[in-house]
Amino acid sequence: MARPEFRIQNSEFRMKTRLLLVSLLSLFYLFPKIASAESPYVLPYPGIMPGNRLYIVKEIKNFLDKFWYFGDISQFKYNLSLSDEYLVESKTLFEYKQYVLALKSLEKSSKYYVNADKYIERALENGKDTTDIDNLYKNAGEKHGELLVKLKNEIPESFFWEAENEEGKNLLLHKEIERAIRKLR
Amino acid sequence: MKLIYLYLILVVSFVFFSYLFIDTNLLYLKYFYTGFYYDQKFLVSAMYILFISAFFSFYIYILRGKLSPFLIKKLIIFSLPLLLSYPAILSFDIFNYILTAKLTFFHFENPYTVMPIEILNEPLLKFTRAANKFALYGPAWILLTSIPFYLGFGIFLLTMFLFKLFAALFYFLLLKIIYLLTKSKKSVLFFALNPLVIIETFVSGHNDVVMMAFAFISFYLLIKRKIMLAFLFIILSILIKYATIALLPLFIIMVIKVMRREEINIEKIGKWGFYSMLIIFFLSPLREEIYPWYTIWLLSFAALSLKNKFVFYLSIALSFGVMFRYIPYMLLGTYFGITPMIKTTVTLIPVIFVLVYFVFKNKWLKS
Repeated sequence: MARPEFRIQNSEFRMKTRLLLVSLLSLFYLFPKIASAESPYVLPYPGIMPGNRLYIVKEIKNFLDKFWYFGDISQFKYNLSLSDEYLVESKTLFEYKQYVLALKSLEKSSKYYVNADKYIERALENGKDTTDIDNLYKNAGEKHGELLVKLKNEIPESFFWEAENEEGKNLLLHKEIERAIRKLR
Repeated sequence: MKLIYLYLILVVSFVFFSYLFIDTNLLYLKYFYTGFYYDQKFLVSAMYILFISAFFSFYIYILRGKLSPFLIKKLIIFSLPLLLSYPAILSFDIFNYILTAKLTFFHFENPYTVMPIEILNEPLLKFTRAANKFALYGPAWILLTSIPFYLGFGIFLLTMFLFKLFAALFYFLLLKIIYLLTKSKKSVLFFALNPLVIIETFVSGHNDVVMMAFAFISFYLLIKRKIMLAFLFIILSILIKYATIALLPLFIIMVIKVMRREEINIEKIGKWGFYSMLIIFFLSPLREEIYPWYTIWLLSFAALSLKNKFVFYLSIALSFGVMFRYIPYMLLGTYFGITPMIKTTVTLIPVIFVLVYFVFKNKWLKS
């Protein structure tokens, strides 16, 4: 037969264990999902990359699409989709250390992103309800921002680029990325 | 003569019947809304069966009799009140045509890159179906719809009736071409008074007659040895609803014949046109399903080939059967459950009857 003090200690231990379990369970039910910091917006596959012979075909198609996508909402979609496409292109080029090409693609992505906003305004001026495209634009901006911040942490601050028959130049990679981030909504 | 007035009564009754189907959300017709269809689905379905049976009985009776050209014209004119009917009794496509035209010519958006549903504050979305799809029809159709759309001056009801009238104009154009090709009043009568053709064109305002009218103009021009113009019209026809792409082999064969200065047999065009469109007709479930108004493709070619009894009976049987495809949805209010099975059954039963008749006909005759 156990001594009385030991029995008391044992019951205290059991109570503490139960309390801990209940606390843990309540924590689990209070926060059932692990909140994700990532935006649900999905970026596209970049397709044909610069350097590929067929890249010019893709560029011509993108140019011609500008006329096919007539209308405010249509143009918004066109500009945002190109902004997404060039952003992923830029990311891939950064990863392969093709910094000159990567910066070019990043510049294009920013240009189309800013253009897309103009078409939201135009749609609004033309009496269209822009709630959906506005949200889409905001989500895209968040996703672009996430990707650019991540990219900034992975690449050097600057890079000295030397071409064969040209004068070398210092590429301020971080500054360019920051500039692109500033353009995001 | 009395029968003709009976036909007029039937037509006018159908116009009144159509207004039982007004959609709850169609605010433009709220003063005519009774909710009768929603409360009395069984009764409405039974009435529909009676109407279709009456229309077809009348049609068969007319086809069997000998009518003067005056009476034929009168019968066609007596079908015109159907243009005043409520269009979405059997299909909501006309609203889709109007909304796509509005998206293109009012909102100035490309209907192939923007869906109607993306114009969030568009009032027509309340009662338009398939608004979550890009344009379902070809660019030639979308361009043509600018005519009734602009003539409607933004007044919905006027636009709606103008769309029906627009389809009706192509129906008359098609009748004219059928007559020019066949020189037969019976061929015109066969197509013109088929209840499916009349209901799908004058009531629902479907664009199938537009596509077929262009295809027939193309064949007529080929016979007149105007190959380039004929080519232009067959392309126009394809760009209405794409289905007439099935006619390209027939078109090429005809071009070769024209270039060789060989004679073109209209009966054969009718027969092969019928079979070409029959393939597309039965392939349509690959995209969506067999819609009753697709039978217009077959009926227009069958009108060129009335001597071919198989084509003649098959097209009538099919047009009769497919009109019953509407009943399960009308009765049950769902596209699921047993609805698809009933639709297939009612489509196939008359076809099977015709097939059985033609397989055993010779045996019966011998015995």
